[in-house]
Amino acid sequence: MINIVCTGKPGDGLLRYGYEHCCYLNSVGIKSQVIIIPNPKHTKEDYIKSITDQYKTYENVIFDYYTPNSDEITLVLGRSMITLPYLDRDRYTKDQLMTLHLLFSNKVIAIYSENHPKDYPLALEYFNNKKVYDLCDFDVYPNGVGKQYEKIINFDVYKPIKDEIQHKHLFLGTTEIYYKEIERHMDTNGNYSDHGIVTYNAKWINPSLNNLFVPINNILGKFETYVYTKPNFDPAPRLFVEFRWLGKNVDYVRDKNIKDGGMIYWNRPVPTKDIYKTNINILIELIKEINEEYNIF
Amino acid sequence: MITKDNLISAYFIDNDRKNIEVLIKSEDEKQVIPIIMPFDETDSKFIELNAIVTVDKLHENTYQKKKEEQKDFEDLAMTIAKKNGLVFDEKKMDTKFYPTLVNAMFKNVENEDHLFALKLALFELDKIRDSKNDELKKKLRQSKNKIELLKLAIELIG
Repeated sequence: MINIVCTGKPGDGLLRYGYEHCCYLNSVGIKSQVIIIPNPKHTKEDYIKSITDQYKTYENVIFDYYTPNSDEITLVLGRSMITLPYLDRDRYTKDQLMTLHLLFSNKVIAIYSENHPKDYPLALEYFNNKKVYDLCDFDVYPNGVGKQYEKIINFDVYKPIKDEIQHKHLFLGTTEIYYKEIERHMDTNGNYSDHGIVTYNAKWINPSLNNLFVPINNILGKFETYVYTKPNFDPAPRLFVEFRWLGKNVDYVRDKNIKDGGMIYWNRPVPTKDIYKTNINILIELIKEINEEYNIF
Repeated sequence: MITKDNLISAYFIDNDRKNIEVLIKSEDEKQVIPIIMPFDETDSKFIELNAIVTVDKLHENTYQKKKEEQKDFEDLAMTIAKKNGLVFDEKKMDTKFYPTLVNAMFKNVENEDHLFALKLALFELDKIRDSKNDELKKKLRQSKNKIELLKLAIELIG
């Protein structure tokens, strides 16, 4: 069993990448499930809605409670999935913490990220992890560790997108930092009057702007253009890849000198089935190697 | 004179980070010579050092040195504590261990933190973790006191 752990928020890309991995691995006969330990500020329903809004299926997802055997492998789509619950450990229930301990003390495959470089080793120590197998997108993290691996969207599992345009420009404002940057663009560019800002109902939002709260059903069908404004490090952007896949417009208005996944993904082709398969086979090979190493068949 | 070749290390030595200690090798490479200098960008000694070691690197060296010192201190404290029987040496269990074990198991039986730690320790045992008896494993995870927990663990292992 491959346990794909998600400790992020329901709007996060890592939940989506995680669910897509789960679908693909099951489709090729590798039993997998997504284990969601909800962020203390969100409910199970938020996560369920996120998945059911976007994907054709909702299956192999469990919440909070799971007891893995020692021959199971834990997969995280970013190191922060381990570090965040360590940092927030006082806000989880004992049951959730037990599940996290049992999952992270097993063999872990982790996709490299650099969100909390000092806390990550402490998190591994806290969860008494025995071994981590690293995968890394070296184009995004040249100083990373592990085997080359990209996070790629599995469009095969997407629900069909209904064309029901409601606004011209889509902005992603799910954190205060992103939101402030969007406000700055709104102030300096008068062309964004017909907009929707995808965000959370938080205290830092500006009520005079058109805020749309996540999760949003059929989000990709409701806008003509995605305005990519994210001002800080973006390791594996999804929205502009999705817009390009649909043949829609993307305005890249952030600083093109930011060295992260923004420009890297911008210059990569829109993922096809073959591209997806070639990449995920690296993970599948690694799973086989681990199983052979531990004689798990 | 401080050169790339004779420099061993350089780091801040005070909390305010106003003074730096530089360690260099003597010419015959048989001695380590310490040099103390102020962190003053106009000071000629600092300028000489700064040509080889950046300020960022000084901060990094200081962090690493403190970390090593902390670890050395903790290792020493553990060695003394183990020697005096204040903590258990996992590699060398002796009879002193049992009264503590008994106390840990049969006192404070509903303490949530103890229960949590005990469950985690039990799940470290392959016989429990990999048992096919999911019902008992579920009960073990849900048990509310240590006695019940131990009974279930013994049942699973037995």
